[in-house]
Amino acid sequence: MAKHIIIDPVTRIEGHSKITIFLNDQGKVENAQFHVTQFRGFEKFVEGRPFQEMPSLTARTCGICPVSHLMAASKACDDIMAVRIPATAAKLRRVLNLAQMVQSHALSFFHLSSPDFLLGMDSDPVARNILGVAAKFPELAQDGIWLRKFGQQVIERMTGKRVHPAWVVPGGVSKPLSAEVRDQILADVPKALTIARRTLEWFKPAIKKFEEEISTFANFPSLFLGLVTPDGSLEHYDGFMRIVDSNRKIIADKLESSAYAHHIGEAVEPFSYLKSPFFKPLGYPGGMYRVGPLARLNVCDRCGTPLADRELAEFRKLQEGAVLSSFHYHYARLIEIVYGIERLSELLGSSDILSTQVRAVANPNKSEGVGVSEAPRGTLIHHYRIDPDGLVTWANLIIATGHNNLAMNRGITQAAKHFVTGKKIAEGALNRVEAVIRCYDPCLSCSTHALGQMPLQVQLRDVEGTVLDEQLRE
Amino acid sequence: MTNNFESDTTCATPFLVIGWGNVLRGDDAAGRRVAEAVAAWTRHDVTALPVHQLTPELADTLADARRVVFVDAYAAAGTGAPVRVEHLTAAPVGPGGTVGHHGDPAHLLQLAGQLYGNVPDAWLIGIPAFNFALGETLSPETARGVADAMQQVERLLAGTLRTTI
Repeated sequence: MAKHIIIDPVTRIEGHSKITIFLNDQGKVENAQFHVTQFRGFEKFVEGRPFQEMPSLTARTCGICPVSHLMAASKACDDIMAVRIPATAAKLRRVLNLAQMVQSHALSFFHLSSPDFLLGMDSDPVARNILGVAAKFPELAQDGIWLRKFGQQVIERMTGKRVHPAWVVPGGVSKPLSAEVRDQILADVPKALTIARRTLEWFKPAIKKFEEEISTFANFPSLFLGLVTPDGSLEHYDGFMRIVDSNRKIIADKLESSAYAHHIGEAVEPFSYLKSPFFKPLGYPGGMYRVGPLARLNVCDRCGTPLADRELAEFRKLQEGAVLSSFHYHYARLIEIVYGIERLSELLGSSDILSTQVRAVANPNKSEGVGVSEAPRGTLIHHYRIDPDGLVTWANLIIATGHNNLAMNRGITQAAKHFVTGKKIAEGALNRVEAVIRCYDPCLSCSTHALGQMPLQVQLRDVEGTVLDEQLRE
Repeated sequence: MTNNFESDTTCATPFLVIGWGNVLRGDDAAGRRVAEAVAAWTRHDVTALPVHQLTPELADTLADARRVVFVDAYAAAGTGAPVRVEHLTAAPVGPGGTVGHHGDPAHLLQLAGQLYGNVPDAWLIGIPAFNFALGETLSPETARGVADAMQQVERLLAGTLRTTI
């Protein structure tokens, strides 16, 4: 008799979701599904709004990474206005985007995932949170808090707000950078870099204890998608989309943002509000690909900053071709933190960074626009159409977490097949299935207000829906 | 770990007010409104942080304070609900507990003590809230609660306490 196990909600992620594990007649895991159970509807309710409002409106999609939506939305508006923004404005946007990545990666690594690494996948779930880490590893917890605060302070200093800043606008940014703010940020860079490198030096040998997880946490061939610069370097703000296969062979390169729809399709599954994008030439679901830090390091030829390039060279030794295990998203995240700090420091040292020419002003000159940037979790695409009055008539947002949907579903199936046996699900197995999702650091909500452990419900049901077993974590 | 309200005069932030909530959700913004109003005092010995949510990063700021006042909205059962004032102590996260918007500021105090060796004297002011629907205005009763909460903040600043719980 077929049965299934439900994990509801999935913990230590941004948003609301649950997992169903289906057992076959022999009681073995047959399949698993990741359900995103919240519905937002942003694409619909922005219709009728002036296109200039899109950065502010869509930033509300997320309380963790509003800067990412500001970037993609503003770039789509730049496209509609048909302007090339001032060089200084582009640099300032880049700095902001990198600061966002640093703080978001720090949140993911230290606050959400480090309890698994430090306290153990099988440790007491009551203490498996940032407070548990603080109790046993206070220096690392302090590092995590400081690093996230660094990223948030850069955002706050540049924009005046830590969450939902409105400084990035169509045509550039609303206000130039002051020398005082630049110097404040640069003064914190050495400590930020020291912490990032110290964490990497701790984590690299530590992952040897997780061989079983590395081999079973979404460790399979797939495509990888990310932005690269025209010369193939790591890119987060502009550039071109590139797709590589599991051998790191480039199968599509220099893809223009405006042509994304020619390459990416979006499938809908009845069990989730999250769409399932796929690479069109390989069809659905064969065109499964991954985005985010792991994908970015797999698609780029180099990072382009000294310390990050050294780390990338070591990272590439993990395996020939693309690094396939999603467990290594964590490792990639740390390398990107190093890169982000190095790169924003370089940008702030530019001779024109204090220029007051930071905004191009224009009316709409096109009826549609596309903006693509890299959010911490992966490639973010905003596409708008407007009427002659500049009001939005249609919008399409493909968010980073959506790109990873197919891979997350296959990943939890792989992990569940390895760790879940019998009619009961052990705490350690439960945590590992959730941890596969956490590798991707999915952001499912604009305003989740919880960090740490949330109530967890696991149900084992037979094919008629009868509950055979239930576990509650309260 | 020490409680330094009475003894330590070297804190970077003598008096800290943290008000949190979602400004797009009606009365949920009450705590932030209080913090914004306190920030407008521009007193050198008072720091006010209006924030969207409580996050672990606040722990080091807490550890620098002598006294902290948290201000949040609470869902009132009916009209006439009071502004609540309660003294807080550091507490570990229990089963099912969180460190977040719905979590207990006591967890942040615990984090401040664990990581930075200092727990400030701490208070929580709860403002009765009635409407959490989309909107940027407070209901009249919550607006009165904000005014009352401001008086409580002033009393706590002056060292005069009025505890209803």
